[in-house]
Amino acid sequence: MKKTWLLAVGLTSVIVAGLGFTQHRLRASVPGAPMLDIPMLGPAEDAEIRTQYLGAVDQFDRAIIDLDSALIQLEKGQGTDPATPQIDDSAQAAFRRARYAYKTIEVFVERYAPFSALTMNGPAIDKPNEDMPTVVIPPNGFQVIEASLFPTLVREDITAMRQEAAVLRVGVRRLREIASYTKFTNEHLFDASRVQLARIVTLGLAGFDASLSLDGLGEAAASLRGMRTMLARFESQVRDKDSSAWITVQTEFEGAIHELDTATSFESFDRLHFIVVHTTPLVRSIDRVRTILDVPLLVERRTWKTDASTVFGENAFDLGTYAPPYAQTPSQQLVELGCSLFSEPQLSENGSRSCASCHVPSKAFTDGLPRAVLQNASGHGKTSVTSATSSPRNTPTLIGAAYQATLFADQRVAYLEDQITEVLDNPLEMGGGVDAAAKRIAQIAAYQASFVKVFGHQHGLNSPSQSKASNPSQSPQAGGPKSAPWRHQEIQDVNPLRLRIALAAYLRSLSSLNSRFDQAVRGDTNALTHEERRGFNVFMSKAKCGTCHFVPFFNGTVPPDFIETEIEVIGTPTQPVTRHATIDADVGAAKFTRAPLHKHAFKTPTLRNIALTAPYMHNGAYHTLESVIEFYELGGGLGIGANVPNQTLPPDRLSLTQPERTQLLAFLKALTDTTGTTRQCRPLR
Amino acid sequence: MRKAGRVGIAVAGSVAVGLGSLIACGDSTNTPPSRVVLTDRSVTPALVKNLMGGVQAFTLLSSDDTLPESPNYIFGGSTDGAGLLKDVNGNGYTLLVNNEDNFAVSRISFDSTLKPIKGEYIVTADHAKSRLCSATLITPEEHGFGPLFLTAGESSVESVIYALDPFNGRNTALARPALGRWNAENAVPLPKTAYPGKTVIVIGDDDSGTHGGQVAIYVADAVGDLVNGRLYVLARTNDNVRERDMVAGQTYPVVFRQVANQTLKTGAQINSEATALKSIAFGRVEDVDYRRDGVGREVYLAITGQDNTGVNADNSRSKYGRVYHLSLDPTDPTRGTIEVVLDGDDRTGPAKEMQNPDNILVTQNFIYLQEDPNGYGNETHDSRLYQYDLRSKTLKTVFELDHRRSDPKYNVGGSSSFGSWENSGIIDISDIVKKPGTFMVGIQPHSWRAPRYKGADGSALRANEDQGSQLIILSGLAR
Repeated sequence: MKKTWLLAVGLTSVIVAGLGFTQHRLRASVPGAPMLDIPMLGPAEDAEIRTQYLGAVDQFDRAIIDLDSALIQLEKGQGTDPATPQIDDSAQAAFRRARYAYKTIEVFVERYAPFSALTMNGPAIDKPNEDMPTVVIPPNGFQVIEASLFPTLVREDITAMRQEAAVLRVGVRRLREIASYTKFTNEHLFDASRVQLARIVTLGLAGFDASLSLDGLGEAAASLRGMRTMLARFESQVRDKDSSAWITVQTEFEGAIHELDTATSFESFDRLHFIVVHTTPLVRSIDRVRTILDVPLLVERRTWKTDASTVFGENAFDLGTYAPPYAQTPSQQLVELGCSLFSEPQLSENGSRSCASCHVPSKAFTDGLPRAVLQNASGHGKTSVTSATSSPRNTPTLIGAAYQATLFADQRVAYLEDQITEVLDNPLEMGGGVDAAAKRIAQIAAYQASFVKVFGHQHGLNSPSQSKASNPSQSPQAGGPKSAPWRHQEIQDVNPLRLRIALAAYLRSLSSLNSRFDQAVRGDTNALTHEERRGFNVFMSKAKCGTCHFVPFFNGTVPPDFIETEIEVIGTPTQPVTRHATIDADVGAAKFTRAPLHKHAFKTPTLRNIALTAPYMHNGAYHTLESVIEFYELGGGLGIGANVPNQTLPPDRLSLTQPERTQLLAFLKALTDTTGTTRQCRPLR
Repeated sequence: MRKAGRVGIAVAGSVAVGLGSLIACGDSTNTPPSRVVLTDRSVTPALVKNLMGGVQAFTLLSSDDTLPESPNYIFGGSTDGAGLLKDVNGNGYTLLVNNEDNFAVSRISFDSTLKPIKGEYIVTADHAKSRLCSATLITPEEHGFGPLFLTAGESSVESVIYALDPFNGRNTALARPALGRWNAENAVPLPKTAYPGKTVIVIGDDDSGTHGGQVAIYVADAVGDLVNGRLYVLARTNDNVRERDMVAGQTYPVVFRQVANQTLKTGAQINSEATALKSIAFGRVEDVDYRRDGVGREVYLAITGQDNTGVNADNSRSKYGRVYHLSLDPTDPTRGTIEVVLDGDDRTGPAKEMQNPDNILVTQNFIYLQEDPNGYGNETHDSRLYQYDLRSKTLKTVFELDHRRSDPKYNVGGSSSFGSWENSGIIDISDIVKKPGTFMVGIQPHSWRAPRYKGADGSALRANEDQGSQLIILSGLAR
């Protein structure tokens, strides 16, 4: 393999003595790769890694060619005939082999070619063009083919499948090209291994990208084999220093792969056992190898920190990545001030309600109502609004709100600081706006003192001349820029910006990853009952919950990069009926993206504390978890007769048995965790 | 997809020598009069209206034209970054132009009168694999090295910037990762007069996400070195990353801060490090150019703007777009000052009607600015080409696009709403064709689609791309 590649690419290397660098001149004759006309000075490991990687890319390419050959057989009219069913099977088998080959190199692809990874193996879902919301960007790659091959062949899609096979081969060319000019480093290799193991655990075991072939376990094994091969080049170096460390890492690989290879079915696979007994020890043993080799940790600020071995650690996340540039590292004092403000009625226009009026701490920061009780615009009392025209929504929990890249059910803001602004501005919620709220708060001496204590005296984050910059522009035109937040009031000690910073710091403190599930996944074998463990498997397989409510946050934030929080169209009805349903009128994200595909799209909410946060869905239509499970069992809105042509949830029945529903429910209840979050603060006086 | 228009800065400006004549050696002393004839060359009418007085528009090429020496060639959709060269041999001209949504680059040959005679794809989607929007033609006359067509991939953080020899064979572009991995829109080398003996390239990042659109420069200590240079990102000296804290009428000191060892880093890493360096987070940097003042250190940035949702819910970035003037220090390209020239977010100011500027061309006395509206739904006019007089500080409209909405050909799917088309890729070709005041402009009529334009470059990746587009010539436009 290696030799073959050397011949093909014509690599010559000269070790520059004493520098630890390899200077080589690459004359790439790989089809599609550009000539690299320049000497590349890079880390010593660079050429070695590239050689190995490109060999695996070649194998991937051959697997795609085989897949295309199988599709050509189908095209010739064979298969689906009862006489030759094996032709269908062989196309399916070729597909499986091709994606195994992809999974073997996924650790590299996701690191160095993340856009290509999306093109080759992204979800088979149309997306709107960001700049032209009515224009639809169709998906590409494996999952498009998968949808036409599994569970049974869709004969009229053969040409389209061959087209996607061609797109995959374009992807191969791009991988080769990127490899030709990329300088690979060991820091990235070890970090990519850590991330790939998390990808296997959070996505692979959920069937995220193998939802129809149901081959997530086989693909996980292929990925582990690829990683083991990638790390094999360190063997002699590690053995010289610590032979037991090398034996350990090999044993861990063997054990994990064996567990996957011998699994009886995707549905029955004991995921918790696999994580606790195999992947967590494996990632730690790989990290030990990194330490032995003196390879430094990768330096890059990410939500999931580069020094956290798994996504299940309590302190594995840097929530500051979801905060705006001006947010501060929260101190205890800042959080306390935020907590006081949270319960402060003077934040509302008429002084009658605080944040805590709807986000009741003792109710896991919800109100227990289908939809929020709104305050009317004129500030007179309260009105319970049930009219669809005002699009009222269910009050979400705030515990874990900080684990999201976008906020509100329609995702209209990214930062908690801006979410606060919107709620204060909304006449049906707090009303009056953040400027007026800050002025009222400034009249209270206790807050003056507290703001100064926490923030110091305000000398101007900006010079006065700059603050002019943010003066709200006159907006004669609809949709003109709203007022910018850096305003003249910012020069006061109690100012809108500080108010938002304090409240947001408090909301970020409402974060805990200590449910019984978390304890179990960290190794406490007694934390979950047998039924709950089974429920986790149902969650991750047959019920398909884990393909949208992602481990470990159980919300729409996609691991292992944690950059995006997803929206989905599930077709929530106005009433919890099981047929002849009417779609809820709320258009959701489409109001802001203007994309028809996003009509009725809502952010995937967290399932943590779900047992405490009834009723459910953005409109509170469902009062029990059992009825929610039934909704999904029937295939969402489409399955109960609602008109939702753009539904992203598959409309098929899940066919969950009664014991499976019971197990799933038991597992969901094991996600309860309000540790340290429900204390009630008092307004300062 | 269309947001990414980009311009070739071509061989414009005060340098009056055609490239071909220099390479051909020795025939530049006695330049013969131009044989170029400005006349309509296409079967498609010029899709512009309300032309500025004294300015004429001529068609040059469209997706409906058949060229005599390449009857099977179809000019792709979304014409964008471009550069025009005088031929080395013969009296004709060669145009390199990106077909953005095809992920491709066309090479068009013209005869001595500027009649198009042949077209071919020298980069196809299966090679580029990312949208190629912007481009800059580097020439020995203007930059001291080249010719090279510098075109930026704009498909997320794995994209790189490519250098393409205009006369080389198909799919021979070279990746230049030392310029960083960005969602880059354009990479513009400053002319040889700016920092003699160095290569300085200004790079614009079209990112609307967490990190925002960043401005980078690449600096190498030799002319034409695109490999061994250093990469820096633009920051204010007070570390304030919020774009709209800068206002018109003020000047702010800025500094470029180094992202070390950039070739060992992924795009995600470079972006994250730039943010840690307090790189200014603009609302999408669409384009960059420098004033043709004979020096080349007065840089202009076109910020296109992004909606007031998501990471821009606090209006810290522009919504309707801005133009900035970045004045670089005479001896140190990593220092300078920045000021707002045009502010589309001031809806009572001089640029109150501006809808998301995209490509920018700066001549000696004027800024030319092309709109690519973002589709907020409140657009009041179709995409304009603006002319801003740097001396009198007045803003005028050169044309608006003519959607011909009653003709279903140009309104497929009824999607031809206000501002749904863009004009892009303006270059000043006066010195190449030896006719003062002559410019080439691209038009991307996004609702002009038909099956016969599908997969114009023959690629697998963009086989279903079905837009048509058009190139026109403007004459009588001031420089």
